[in-house]
Amino acid sequence: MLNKNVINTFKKKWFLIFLIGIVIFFSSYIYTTMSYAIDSLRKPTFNFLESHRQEHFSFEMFNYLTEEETKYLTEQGYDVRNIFLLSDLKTVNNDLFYQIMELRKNKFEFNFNNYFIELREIKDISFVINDEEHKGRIIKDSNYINLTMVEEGRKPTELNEIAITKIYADQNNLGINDLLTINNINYKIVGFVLFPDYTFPLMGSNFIIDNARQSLMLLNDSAYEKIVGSELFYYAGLSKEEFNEVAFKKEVIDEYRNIDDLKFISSIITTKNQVRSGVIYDELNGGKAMSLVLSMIIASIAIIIVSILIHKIVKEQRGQIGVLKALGYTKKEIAIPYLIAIILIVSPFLLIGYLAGYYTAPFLRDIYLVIYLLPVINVEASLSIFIVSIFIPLIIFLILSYIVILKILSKLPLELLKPEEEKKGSKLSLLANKLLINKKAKTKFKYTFILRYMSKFYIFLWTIIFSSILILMAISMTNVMDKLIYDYYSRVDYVYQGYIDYHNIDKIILNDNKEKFLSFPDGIYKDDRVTLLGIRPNSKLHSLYDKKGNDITSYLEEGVVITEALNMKYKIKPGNYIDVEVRDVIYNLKVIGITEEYMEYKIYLDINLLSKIVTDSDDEMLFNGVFATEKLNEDNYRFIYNKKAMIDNAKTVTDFVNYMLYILTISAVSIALIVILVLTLLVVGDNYYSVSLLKVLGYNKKEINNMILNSYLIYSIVGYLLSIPLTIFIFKMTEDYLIHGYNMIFPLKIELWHLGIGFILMVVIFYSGVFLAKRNINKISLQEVLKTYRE
Amino acid sequence: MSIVLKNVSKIYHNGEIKTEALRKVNLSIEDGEFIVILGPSGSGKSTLLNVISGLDNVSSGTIKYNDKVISNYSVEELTKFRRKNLGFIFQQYNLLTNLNVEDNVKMGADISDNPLDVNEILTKVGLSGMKKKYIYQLSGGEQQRVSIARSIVKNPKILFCDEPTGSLDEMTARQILSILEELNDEYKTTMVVITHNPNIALMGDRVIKMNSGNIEEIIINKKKKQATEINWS
Ligand SMILES: Nc1ncnc2c1ncn2[C@@H]1O[C@H](COP(=O)(O)OP(=O)(O)OP(=O)(O)O)[C@@H](O)[C@H]1O
Ligand SMILES: [Mg+2]
Repeated sequence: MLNKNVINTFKKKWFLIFLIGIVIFFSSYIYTTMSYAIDSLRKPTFNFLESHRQEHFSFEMFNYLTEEETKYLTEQGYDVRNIFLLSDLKTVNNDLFYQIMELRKNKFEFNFNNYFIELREIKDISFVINDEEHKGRIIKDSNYINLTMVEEGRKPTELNEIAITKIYADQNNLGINDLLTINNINYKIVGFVLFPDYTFPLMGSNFIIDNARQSLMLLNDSAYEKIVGSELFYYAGLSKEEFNEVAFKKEVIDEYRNIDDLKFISSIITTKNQVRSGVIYDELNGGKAMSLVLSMIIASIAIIIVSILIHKIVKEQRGQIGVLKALGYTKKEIAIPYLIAIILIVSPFLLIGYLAGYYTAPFLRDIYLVIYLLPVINVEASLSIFIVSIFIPLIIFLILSYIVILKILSKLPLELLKPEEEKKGSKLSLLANKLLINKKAKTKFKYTFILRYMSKFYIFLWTIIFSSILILMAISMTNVMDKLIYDYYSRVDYVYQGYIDYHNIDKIILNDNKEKFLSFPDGIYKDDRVTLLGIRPNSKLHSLYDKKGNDITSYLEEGVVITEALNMKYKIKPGNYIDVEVRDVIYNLKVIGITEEYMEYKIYLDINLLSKIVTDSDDEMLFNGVFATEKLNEDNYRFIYNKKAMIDNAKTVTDFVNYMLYILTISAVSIALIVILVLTLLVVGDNYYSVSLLKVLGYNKKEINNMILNSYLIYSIVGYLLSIPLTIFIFKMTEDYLIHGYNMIFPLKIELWHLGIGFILMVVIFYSGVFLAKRNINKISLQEVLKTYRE
Repeated sequence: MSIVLKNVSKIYHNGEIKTEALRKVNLSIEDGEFIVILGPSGSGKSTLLNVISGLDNVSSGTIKYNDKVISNYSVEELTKFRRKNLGFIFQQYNLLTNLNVEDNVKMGADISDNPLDVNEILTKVGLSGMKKKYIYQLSGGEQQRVSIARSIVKNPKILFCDEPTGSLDEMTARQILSILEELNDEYKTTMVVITHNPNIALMGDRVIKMNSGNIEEIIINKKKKQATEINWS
């Protein structure tokens, strides 16, 4: 008999239960889909990195020869006076280059004998497919560290064979044995490869990752040497014993600058702090933690709402329960039907969430694979994920509900049979009453009635805060890419940026459409390598702007201007002096301004000053590139950057990021909407009699809706306002974490218009929730007030 | 304001079951009258009060206030009418628990065009010292007095009371009834009071006896008794 009664009670609340079910579904779905997606990457990835000997650290070198090396080469009988860059040495004399590299290797291993290193040689090329510019990073096959993994096919053995990444092949409809034409040479694709040091294929300093238009590539060694591209080198290193981050920092990172023999090293970075190879650890470990936290937040909201609902239902049944108790039923006998009902209600939603999560996990995994280059296995059902996403929440639901039911059941039968005493007001509602002391009674009612039910009020507030944070994050992240890339390019007036081949320097004819610059990428400031860029203080093609949009180019007459990126890391104020090291000499430079540029650590100075610094003489005339508004003659330049191509490239990434952000916003909005709706319905239920009474007294629809529903608005706004400092705090932490951990500049700024849109969204969510709840208020009949039993 | 009911019927449909709660009731109530409705449980007293006051609609028949036929009114019109003219007191006190005594009464005053003074009314019902107390701090009798104060502060032309003393002890009940009596005398408020207690019936100008949905008898009291005079048991 009670069973039927319980079912009927739940049936009456089907709409509410359905809404709560959606929240339950979300919590199990998010956990399941993220866990499966990440697990299907984690295992094979970690195996791959281990078995293919991923570097423990790597170091980069300045692109020039040390004095000692110049001397060595001269002693060997070579004339190296004209050879300025390391990369030039390799083109001029391959053997000498490897001799120098061998010397460097020996010096390093001599000084740090717990470690061994191997030279990594890389060539960046660009080529055109279907009128689109594609990029390739050709990595020379290694023997000891960062071994190439062949996913499919084999390594190239012939001159005209090539291996590429699978994602690039898929995105461009290429398969094994197809031809890939690079600068008029046809290469036959013989395999798909991965490299342990390039799981995150970041090429260059900005965030342009577009695996549809860029690929890592493998050629055989002779083909590698033959192909034309801009070459760079670094050393990859492994520890002979178990690698220890702390020991390495103490033994190597803190020491190498003091060793004269190792002056060729510009920076040493461990894998953990290296974006291209280390960020995957954070992504995989962090992704799993995040899925757990997100689903726990959502699940706890669901669990609390279910407890409230059970409390409400059992209380409505207090009279009958009292009778049953009086008849001699035990607590257990009375509680069990409720618990069974909870299992029947909750498990389908959990199960649907789990199944949806399991089947959509491959899609989420593929989203990771758009950005990361990782080996993949199929998503396989796992018992532990099943248990965590279904049994644990179910058990928590049952335990909490049981506690709630027991609390009511332990009252004496007589007490249960009596109508409930009026509840004492909460502290907060008393406080609100005090604050509103001179206001109309109506106003007091409006702002205090929700405070009577503190648990509901807190969930309400937390949900609003939680979803506001998510919404604010999503909105303000939509223009991170703009800040990183577009803003810079849209402010400067040049269209082409050419780096001069120094043999051709005499052929460059300057005119009104060209402006020379001097770039020196090997400056050192504290722990970081900085680019010094010399431009004219009256530059027209590369003006500098501060945060407020003022043109500060002319500041260069009195000092230097640093990028906001450098400021984010080191907090340098205008007026401060910074010590910048250029080829072992320290220059003390006065910072006059900060330009709003986030792409890299850069110091702008007067080109004449930089010329003097770089040549260590009075020579003011040096330059190594030009900014231009007209097309440049390709023969005279090492490479030419086209502003438009850079912006186009960035667009694909931006689209991808925005897509993720839309999903984030939609989920946040729907959770907020559902919770507002559920709580409004519950509160309206609690205030059934008050509403009915107000109607009897003669308050009209509008006044009642205004009193009952709109009272939330102010608390929604309070929740929203509270979320703003929290979001700023989270952003600040993230920025700091990325910049100090990875030297990754990721400007997360909340702007006024973000707050405006967030606010509008909040209000819209609020009114949609309220709109849906209105029906329920209008349904409450006048006669409710006459019923004898009331809550 | 006089009230005239003509052939008023009320049928409740509950699935298959039909309950005729009122069967063609005819009744008129004069301005300023004190009416008592008496009858056994289930005889249709509450139903009668609900339809007269517009809380519930009629199944057939008409209800006229002066010359306004309120039985045809829409929900909005009825709300407006109640707001302007009617007051209610029920057996359960129906107070707003998140407000204190004074604010509960003000909730009544605020919707009236010509409300009475809140303090004066609170003094009249003997609650002037409890203005700032919350509902949970009051006894049942005190709560009922708040409910009365809330109804009368809006200065209604007619006050409907469904067993106002039903859950009160004798002494408290007498106090409450005295207040109703006083209102009827002082403000000429029309009173429609439901009770189970035949003794209370002696307070009315007329007593309407209900039985199974019909008015069985209307008794005119030649001489009304005062609340203090009535015999309780
Ligand atoms: N909402 C309703 N639905 C169906 N039947 C109803 C409803 N309200 C009242 N009734 C029926 O109408 C009849 C009259 O009920 P009413 O409440 O008017 O009686 P009453 O005289 O006020 O009784 P009491 O003295 O017990 O309050 C009863 O038979 C009752 O069962
Ligand atoms: Mg009744």
